[in-house]
Amino acid sequence: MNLVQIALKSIRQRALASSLTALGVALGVMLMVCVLVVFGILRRSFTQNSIGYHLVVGPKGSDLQLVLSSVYRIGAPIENIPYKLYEEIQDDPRVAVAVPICMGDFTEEGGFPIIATNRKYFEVPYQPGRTPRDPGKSFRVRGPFVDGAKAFDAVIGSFVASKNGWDLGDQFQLVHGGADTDTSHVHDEKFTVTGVLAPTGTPNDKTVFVMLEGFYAVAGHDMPLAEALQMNHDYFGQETLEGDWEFDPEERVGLGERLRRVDAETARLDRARAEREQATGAERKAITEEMDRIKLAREVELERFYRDITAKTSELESLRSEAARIGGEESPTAEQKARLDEIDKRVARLERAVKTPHAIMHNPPVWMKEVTAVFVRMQQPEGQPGIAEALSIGYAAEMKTGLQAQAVNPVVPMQRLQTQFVGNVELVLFWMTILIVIVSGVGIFVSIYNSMADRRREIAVMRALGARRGTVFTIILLEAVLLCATGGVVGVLLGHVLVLIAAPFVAAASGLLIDPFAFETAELYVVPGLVLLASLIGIVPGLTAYRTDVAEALAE
Amino acid sequence: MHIDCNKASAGLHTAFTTHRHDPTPAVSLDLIDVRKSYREPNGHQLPVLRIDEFHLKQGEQVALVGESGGGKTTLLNCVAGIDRPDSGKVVVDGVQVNALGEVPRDRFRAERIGMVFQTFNLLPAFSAYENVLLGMSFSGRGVDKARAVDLLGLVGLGHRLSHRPGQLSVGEQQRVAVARALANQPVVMLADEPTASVDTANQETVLDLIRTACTEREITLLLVTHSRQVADQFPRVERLSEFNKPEALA
Repeated sequence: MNLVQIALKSIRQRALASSLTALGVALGVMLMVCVLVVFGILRRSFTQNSIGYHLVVGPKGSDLQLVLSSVYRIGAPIENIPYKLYEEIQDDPRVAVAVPICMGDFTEEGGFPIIATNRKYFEVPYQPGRTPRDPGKSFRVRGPFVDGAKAFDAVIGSFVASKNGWDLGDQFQLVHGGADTDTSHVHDEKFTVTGVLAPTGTPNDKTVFVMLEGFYAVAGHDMPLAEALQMNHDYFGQETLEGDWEFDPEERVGLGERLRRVDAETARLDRARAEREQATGAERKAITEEMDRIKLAREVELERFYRDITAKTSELESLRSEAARIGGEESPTAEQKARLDEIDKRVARLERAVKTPHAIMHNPPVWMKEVTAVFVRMQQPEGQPGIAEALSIGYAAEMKTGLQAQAVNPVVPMQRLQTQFVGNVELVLFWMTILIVIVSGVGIFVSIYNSMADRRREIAVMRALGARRGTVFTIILLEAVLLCATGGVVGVLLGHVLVLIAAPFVAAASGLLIDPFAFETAELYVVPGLVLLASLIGIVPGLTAYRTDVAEALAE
Repeated sequence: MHIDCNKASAGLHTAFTTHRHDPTPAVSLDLIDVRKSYREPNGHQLPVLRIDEFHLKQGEQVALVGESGGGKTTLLNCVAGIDRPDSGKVVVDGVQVNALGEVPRDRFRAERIGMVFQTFNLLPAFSAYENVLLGMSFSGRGVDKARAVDLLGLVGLGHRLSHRPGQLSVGEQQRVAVARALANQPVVMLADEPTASVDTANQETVLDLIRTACTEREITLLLVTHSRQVADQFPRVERLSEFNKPEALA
């Protein structure tokens, strides 16, 4: 009969008290395991490439806001960037995939964010592989969307489907600006669910995706003309027109004609882009150069349009203020009246000219479209790991110094957030659970220590039978260790059982996918840590046993 | 009374196991000039033992009688090495027990002394069989499961191996205690009023068991009793007050 068997017998002798104290440890460890598992999931969502992209491009501003709004759909986006910038990114030879997204609308039911994008969004894995051979996790879409999408088709996340009870064929409307704001309004256009995503454990589960074409066709989703022109000019005006192109100040073309020219160049560009998709080698290079020329020509037309309309708008404003000034006179002179007539005629002409662009447009032209962000995957030549990451660093640096946009590696701000905030919360919770375990350990101490008075005789008998002081000390220490270790193992199991039971409820309530079998490395330290704790706990009652006066205890 | 001083002193310097099979062991237990006092709460010394000489031959069976508080249990504790006299020599099987350090004394007790208590002192969480095994666990000779079964068979409890003390009658419990005391083949058996807690019907059985086992194994038996009936069955009866004069220490 070895000492462990003897210790086990003593534990069994006080089965109820022993079970309760071990249960205390088990519950503490169970909480600790839950905290570890949940924070492990959160940490992974912050630290891994939680989307399958190297960069997120958006307007200049907080990189964290950009990533939170576009990837995690938390908070409002910074602003928008011109659609043309998306085109630029898409056409860059270093870029493998560029996926535009538009945000700002929500579902009326449930207030889920609407993301307008294209089909490419669903072709990129939502979670990249950890190794070059690992393909990662790809979207699984159920429904006719798989075979093709029309403008007003929509794909809904799994959580949206379960929460709103939506399925294929259901229709919904977009709410601009969110369901709970004063300025919100419901768009008339209806979108039809043609695809339902399988659960991904990402914010995609809580998102409704619509096609960009449909999104732009919704009234009010094109930019106001002046804003579009200003943004276009800010982003592309000066930089792209430097070089060989000179303006011809004598060329007098109406604003409508200029727009037709811009649209014609856009159509040429789209054709060239489609051709380039099929081309390779020298032909591809030639098409790319041709596309650059088309873009420049389009910019020139747009810049001329911008200058003309700016000049006309400015003249319009100045004439209106002059007319107001003359109209304010109590007794205008004949000369002033003649000037007022002249102004009226000029204003009427100018107003017609400025309205022309609105009149000729059926769909927003490319320069009046905007996107909220662009997800970018860089080219990754096979067998050369790290190239895509290197390209993304260079590309982000270029964007920083050039345009009004920023390109952000989504992991960087999230890691910062994780380190500065979430990491601290995790640390606080972790230490709280450790304290709970220590308190449970103190329970074991109290239980064993209290039992020592009743066990003096038992210890004395063992000593009378020849047990050394060290032997009885070890037996008591082993009891503490066995109770703590058993509590620890049971706690780890209970923790995972709890996670297993809670996972579907958590998923239903929050959309957070929890792998019930997720094992955190830190759990490996739980049982050894408890053994150490138990060794400390067992010292005092162990010493009591050690010091037991055998003759006195036998005489009691 | 006679004492083999040479052997006793030799025991101080020689590993005690070497004397186990001495071909002519005349004396199994010697007490020489043993003095023992306890400090009372008021600080005064309370003399308990003052024994000039006391000897038991190997295989001898002695009933020790005396008044309560007369020092009988203290004497047994000193012989077992549980307690140490203030001075003098306690020599068991040629080994001066009180000169041993604590660890060798514990081992000596495990290997050479068998103890039977008035209240049995069986561990309640252990079965009869496990209680006997426990007696073997601290000896350093290892656990002999077959021997434990044999011993329980010997005391008539071969069919109650897995019963815990709470499931046994008091007589049966004391028989388990006897089996446990015999577990390590002791040289000396110390029994402290082993029949006092046993009903009359079982007293005879327990006493016979102890005496027969000691006789068969040539174990020296020192049995403390208050019962004249029990004492009368022993060939040698010693009244403690006749050779213990603690009052002379006061």
